[in-house]
Amino acid sequence: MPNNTSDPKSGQVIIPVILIILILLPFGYSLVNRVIAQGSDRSEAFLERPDAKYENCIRDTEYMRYHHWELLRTVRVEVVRYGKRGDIRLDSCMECHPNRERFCNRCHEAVSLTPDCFGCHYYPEIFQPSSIESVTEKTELIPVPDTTVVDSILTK
Amino acid sequence: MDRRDFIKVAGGTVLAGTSCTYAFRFLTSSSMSDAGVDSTLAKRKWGMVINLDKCKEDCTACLEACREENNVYHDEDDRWDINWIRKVKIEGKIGSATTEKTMILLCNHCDNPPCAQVCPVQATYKREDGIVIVDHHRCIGCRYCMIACPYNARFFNFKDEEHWINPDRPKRTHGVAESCHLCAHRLDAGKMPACVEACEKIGCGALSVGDFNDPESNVSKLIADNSVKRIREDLGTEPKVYYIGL
Repeated sequence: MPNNTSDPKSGQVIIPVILIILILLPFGYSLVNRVIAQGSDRSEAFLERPDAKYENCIRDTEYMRYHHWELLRTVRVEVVRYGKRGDIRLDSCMECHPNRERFCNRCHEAVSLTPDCFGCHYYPEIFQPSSIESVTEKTELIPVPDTTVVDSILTK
Repeated sequence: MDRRDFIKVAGGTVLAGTSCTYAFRFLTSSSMSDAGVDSTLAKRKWGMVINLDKCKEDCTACLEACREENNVYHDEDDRWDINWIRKVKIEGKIGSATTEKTMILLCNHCDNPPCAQVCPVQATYKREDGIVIVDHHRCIGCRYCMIACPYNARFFNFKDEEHWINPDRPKRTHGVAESCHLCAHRLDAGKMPACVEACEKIGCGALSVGDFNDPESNVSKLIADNSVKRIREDLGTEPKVYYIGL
């Protein structure tokens, strides 16, 4: 046979190497992305603080900051599946945090999360109930969850 | 080890392993079911009785009340329109004479719901108190329940509702199936469903919702005192919507 193609032995090496590179490509991509995300200054977000008289949330601030979604999900299952309607509702968040854009969205955007709660549940972008006139645009710099926390949220 | 011994050991191991898993599953399931069930829900069994003799022909009070309460999507085009409760005209033949009647159709909240059986993700299910509910968080929009339902009570959200008529209640986005849930949120709060309240308000009182498990409830008395019919009883779905004067 004429030797039109290259040495068959080199093909035995190149093809596995290409396959290994292709397999490792996504892992390398996420690693590089994580390094870039840690280096950038997107690790903090300005959130609106509720008025001083509404300081007492249903859980402490640290829990609500990172695990409010777990609480809402548990309540959701209890309400929808077992009909246990308690005090915790998405509407009750609205009493102290009337503005979705200044409270929910700023943090969700910083960690690029798009929860679909608000497609069906009413939570206005701009909403000023008469009971809280004193809420102004007081903002607080809070640390956004780091990428590992966000990954655990996405995989659950 | 000869072949006989090997088969004995291997068979014994497999038997012990499977029995252990079954025993474990039995133990855990019995303890878990106690924790999840709400006893107050399980005591009740909600159902509806519709008195068609009292129902006015051109009245749409219950239909409108349902739309306003539950943010049901409305479209001029019948293909996209959603009616949790709707009115149809039926024709009956007695001898040579034909009779026409208007009738109210809604989800029958079957005791043996075909929609819940076919749901691949358990989004549709029967609650402890007999109400058939769709968990819209879980629905993937496969529309199998619409095919399974013999009463055509299931609807699909082909479009997003833009108007939020009642902000206290959620609406549904494009891509989920929905049906009447007998205003479960109102029943949990001790109120009657929106359609029943609207019917009483205009003075008809054709619709009544109550607890079938309680022999003293309004619906149990209505069923005992009148001749009632359910639709498509032959299918074995055990519907919980009874009709008087059908």
